[in-house]
Amino acid sequence: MKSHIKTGRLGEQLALSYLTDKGYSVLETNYRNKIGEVDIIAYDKEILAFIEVKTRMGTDYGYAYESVNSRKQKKIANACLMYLQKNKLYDVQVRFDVIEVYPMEKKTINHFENAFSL
Amino acid sequence: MYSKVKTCVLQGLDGHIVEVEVDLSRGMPMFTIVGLPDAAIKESKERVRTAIRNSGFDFPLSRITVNLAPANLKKDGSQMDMAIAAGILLADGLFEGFDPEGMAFLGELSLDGTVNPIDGALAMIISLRNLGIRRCIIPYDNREECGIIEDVEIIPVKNLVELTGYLSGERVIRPYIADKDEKDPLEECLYDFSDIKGQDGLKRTMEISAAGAHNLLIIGPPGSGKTMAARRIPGILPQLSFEESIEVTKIYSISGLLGKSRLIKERPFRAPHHSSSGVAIIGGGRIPKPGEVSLAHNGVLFFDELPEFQKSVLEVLRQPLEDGFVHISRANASLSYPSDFMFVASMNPCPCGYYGDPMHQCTCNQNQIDRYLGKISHPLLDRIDLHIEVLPVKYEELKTDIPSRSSDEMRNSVSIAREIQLDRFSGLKIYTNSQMGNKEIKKFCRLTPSSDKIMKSAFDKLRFSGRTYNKILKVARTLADLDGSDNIDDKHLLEAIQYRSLDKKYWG
Repeated sequence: MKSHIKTGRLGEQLALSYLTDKGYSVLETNYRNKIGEVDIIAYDKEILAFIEVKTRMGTDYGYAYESVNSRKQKKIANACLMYLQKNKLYDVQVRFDVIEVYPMEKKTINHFENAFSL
Repeated sequence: MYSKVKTCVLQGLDGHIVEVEVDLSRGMPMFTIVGLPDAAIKESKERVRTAIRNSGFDFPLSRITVNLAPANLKKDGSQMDMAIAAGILLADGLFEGFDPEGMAFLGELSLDGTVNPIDGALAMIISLRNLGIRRCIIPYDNREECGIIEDVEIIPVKNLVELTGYLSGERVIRPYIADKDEKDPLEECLYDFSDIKGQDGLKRTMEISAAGAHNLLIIGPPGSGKTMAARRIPGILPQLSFEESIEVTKIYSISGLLGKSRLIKERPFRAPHHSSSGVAIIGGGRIPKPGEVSLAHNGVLFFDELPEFQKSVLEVLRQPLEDGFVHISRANASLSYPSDFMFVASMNPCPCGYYGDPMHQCTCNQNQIDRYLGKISHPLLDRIDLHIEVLPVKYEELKTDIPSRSSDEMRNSVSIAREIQLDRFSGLKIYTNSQMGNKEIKKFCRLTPSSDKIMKSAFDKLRFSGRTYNKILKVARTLADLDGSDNIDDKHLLEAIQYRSLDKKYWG
């Protein structure tokens, strides 16, 4: 397996255990449809959170959250809309989160709730 | 999860109620504003979001739809921020049992939740009062101008925290009432007419002009005191009445020129530079803003070096000089602004300035003089009631110690004459002789048989127009008022005619 994919998998696992500790009930990981993909879909109480996980080994090339730019945001949002439609979730409050993971740092996880909106 | 609060937009000087409806629903987090908002209102999204967060509240995580009704009215200005913020918090269920009926919100938010002052607050409050609003939340810095309006509760707030405290009933904010009688630190007029030595004729004309709000044209060589005298006119004008003050303050308020002051009590004196454009003078813009003629409303508009103005700029003055208001039409809006001002202009008689000066040689040829004077058209001259020629001061006059007539003395006789006029026109919605229409002229400017004879011969000899005839009668009326006389006598009429004989000399 290539190293950057390994890094990503590691980050997603760290994020997942962080979320379950926080009491989120995870519905899907690595959800994928023809429009795009979402790393984690989970319920935070009654709010449905779509979570993008970004992992970096260091900050030499900028912070991880910076790479979730408006293009990526649009892609995630569209994938979510499709997910909501397929699962007939018409009356549910939605939120978009970003989780940064730095496996080499002291504080490994950084969670941005409601990181962006449409 | 729905709320409705009221705010205001201005179209010219008239305000319209705008209902801000806010709906919060579940779904994708979104924030949309509909209902013909302009750029400043669309941007209010970001201000409102950040201000709510920085004031310690949660910005609701939901799909937010804001509608500005009526949807067909174009909205501009930043005063809607506060209504949008209040609507969102209300829809979020923050103030249970609060009823925003009969209440309006005005104010711009900054990112930290502070409420910033807005332009046109006074004009909005007056319109809202007429539309039945009884309570207004306004920015703290606008309280002085708004506080003069009675029968509307003015609630000044400094920031969003104060607003929410007030709406939830946790904080008491007393309605602000401005102390109307409180004297502003009277701005001493820096210039006094006693500084002007000699030039008694000029001072006399200024007094007449101030007494009846007559337009005035001063012609003379450089250094004869034209500009000096014109700058002293505000010092001899009577103070504004309360109604006039409100009219003036409204215009300054929507132009954003009010600053910290409350009601404007001094008559405005506007002296635009001769490079001004027509739009600057009349008013204009995509959404027309008032120009110099409106800013000089109830005051003085002074054009120094009249022929140096562009000809097109001078000609735009014709209509406001006659009507007392300007109507400006643009694709987006068509608005009227009041422009009842006293027009004072000064000019040299020729390009070099010395034509007709006994002490200097004029170096202009006839062609140059004709072209120079030709910039001022007859229709414009016709609208100026008083024409006066000044000559350079003599050395003896300059060195004399005999005190010349001071601004105080002149102001006294002006105010007496103005009071006579107010008495005469009470209930007619006019305040000065210059505002008389045909009906009033017929009623108040009766000529004795002997004056009538003088008028007839002057009319035939100097070939007056109908307008000039009326202007002369009005000036004669003012002269009689300055004398305290009920009737217009021969001497009043003769003096009035004399002020209209100059255009024959130069423009003949």
